Amino acid sequence: MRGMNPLLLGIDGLSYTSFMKCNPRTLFTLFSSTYRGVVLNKKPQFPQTSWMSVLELKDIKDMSAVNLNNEKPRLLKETNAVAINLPITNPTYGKLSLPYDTSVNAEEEINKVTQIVLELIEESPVIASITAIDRLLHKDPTEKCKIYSLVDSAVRKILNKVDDFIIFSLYGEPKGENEDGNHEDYGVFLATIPRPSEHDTVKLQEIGELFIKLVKKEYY
Amino acid sequence: MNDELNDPELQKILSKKANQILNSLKEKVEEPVKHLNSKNFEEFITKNKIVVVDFWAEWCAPCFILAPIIEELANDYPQVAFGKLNTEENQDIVMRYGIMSLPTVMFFKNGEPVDQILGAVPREEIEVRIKALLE
Repeated sequence: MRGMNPLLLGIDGLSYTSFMKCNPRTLFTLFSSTYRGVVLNKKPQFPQTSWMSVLELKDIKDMSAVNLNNEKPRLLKETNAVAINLPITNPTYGKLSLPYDTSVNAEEEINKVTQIVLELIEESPVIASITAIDRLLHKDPTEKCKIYSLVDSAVRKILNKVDDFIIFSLYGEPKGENEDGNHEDYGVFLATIPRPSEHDTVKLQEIGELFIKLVKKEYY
Repeated sequence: MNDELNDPELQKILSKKANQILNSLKEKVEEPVKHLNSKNFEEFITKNKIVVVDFWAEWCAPCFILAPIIEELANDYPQVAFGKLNTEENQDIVMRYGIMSLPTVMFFKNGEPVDQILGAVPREEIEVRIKALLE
């Protein structure tokens, strides 16, 4: 039986510019069969503040304004979604919590995220992140297509069980050796929900708004 | 012949020409695909014999799939000038060439449009048109 709960899956650092080189088949299929867009997020881009902008539905530039000890981010409250591996804290936030450094390899992270998403999507909406591309490619860009292949397989497995989804990246390919705010300005957006204006770039806040509509089924 | 080479006037001309070539190569290495706009477009397509222009927009996902292919070709074909034009910011050029869908890759020879490709296509499809223009 297919789970009917929606999924918001962030694949941090995923970029259309690597699609031809790495040829991720499932993502290519989604590219031609779902509503697609380009996420615009200009430098400097950091995983914490970019994710918080999605989760708070407003532009967050500084993590000092965020208190995660006392309350959940707005998007989690409004959708009753469960969080998995969100890089808004280190270790990551949610049911799966991993160190945000190079100590966890791509395969281990992606397998764990996939397994927990598949377990929990039956019960409630899920907001999850795969951080491997962003976390590991700053240090070793040669691993790119290997990680794309792992991500692609994970997406295929997950979508076998999910009807409504938004798959996105906060920004494009990581640049430079460290996580110091340097990525391509353009991320990926593939979804089962249409956007009001497809000839506009997707803003981070808009992703949260669209996920609320997906959960509340307001677009049918 | 040696006398001619020692001619200071000729030396000056040769040196100027050499600098021009070096500058154009430097420009090509620094920016293999030149960012075009309404101000530099005309000069770019007329100054260079064979030109490939990638018409794109920020919201256009297939444009980002195509972009690295154009960049790769620009590095592999230094004798061809490659440019990219943001269609949202340069509507006059878009109107002039009747660009209706994105991405569009337009090929120019001696300043005139001679061919075009629509959509994000594999490298080979663009390369075969470039080779035909170079023959």
